[in-house]
Amino acid sequence: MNKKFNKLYNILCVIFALIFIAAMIITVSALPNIGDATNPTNNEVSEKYLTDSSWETGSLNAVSGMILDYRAFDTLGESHVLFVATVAVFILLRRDEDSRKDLPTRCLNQSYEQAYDPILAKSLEFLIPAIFVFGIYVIANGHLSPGGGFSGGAIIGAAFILYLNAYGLESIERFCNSRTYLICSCCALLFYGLAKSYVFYVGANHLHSIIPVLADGSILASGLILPLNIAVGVVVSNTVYALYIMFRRGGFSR
Amino acid sequence: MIRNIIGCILIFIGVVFYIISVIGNLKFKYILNRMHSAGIGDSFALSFVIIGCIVINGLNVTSLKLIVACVCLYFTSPVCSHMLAKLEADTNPNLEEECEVEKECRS
Repeated sequence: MNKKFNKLYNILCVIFALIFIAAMIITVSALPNIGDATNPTNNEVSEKYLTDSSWETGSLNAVSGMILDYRAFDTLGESHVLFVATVAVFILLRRDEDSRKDLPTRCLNQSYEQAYDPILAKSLEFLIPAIFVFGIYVIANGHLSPGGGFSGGAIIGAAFILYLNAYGLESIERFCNSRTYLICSCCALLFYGLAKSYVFYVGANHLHSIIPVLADGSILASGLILPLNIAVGVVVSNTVYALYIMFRRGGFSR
Repeated sequence: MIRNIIGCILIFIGVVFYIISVIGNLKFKYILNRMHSAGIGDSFALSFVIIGCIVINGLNVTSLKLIVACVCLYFTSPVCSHMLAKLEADTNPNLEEECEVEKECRS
């Protein structure tokens, strides 16, 4: 009985796979050509984004104007997904004192820990400030040049990881531990949600927003986009660093 | 015209060093040897290619960015090689079979 069922199962698997392959191939062959001017993607939505975003949102970078103004709700969801992903990794990998007692000591000492290295530390003394400044520049100029919260946050998170590897956990614990992680991430997400709720409320009721949009190419030109970029950058850099440290040690502290 | 020729010569030198580095990377089997040949490409060949690009481009903001990239790579790639070599020397228990180890470095 079981053998017969297995044979039937295999045959059904092959048939299902063939049906799906045929469906995919038929769909792909029915798709329009890439770059065709009459494609359905070249509609009035993208045209409006490209022509109007520079004076409506004040952001010269059309992508920033799109993701933080026209589609800000989508970006809010993305930053929350990042936070939820970190929380899930916390739940799965966190090693507190109780679970640490159960492990044999050789498991704890098995991981290779890089000792303090003077060459790495000296060269990173020059590089890490430069990387931080570059990340802050990318975030703060996200609405004027290519960049924004996601890319700048990834750069700053990488700088945190470099710092951790060069100077050790005790050194970075002074300014970046689980408390600061929670406070920064929650404040950034709360600020994002509140600011965007205000804007949506004002827009839906046809009221006048108190947040000015200058649209003159200066750094404060785009109203809410700069603070939202900073909030997204804080969340992304925290997420990158927290994921790294969770997979490295199973917790913020040793 | 002269500038183009000088830049092309510099880029050509860089590409030759890259070819040497790739051949070494494919020929050698042990990690320290391969790292030695990869380091040539990382620091020397890349600098030559970037300097050639700067000479062709002339003096403007793009050249400044290229110089910053060159300096950063010249900083980071030797440190990266050093860290890799240290990791190999620290974790490989059979290091003496592969290469000579000085007496005071033996753990």
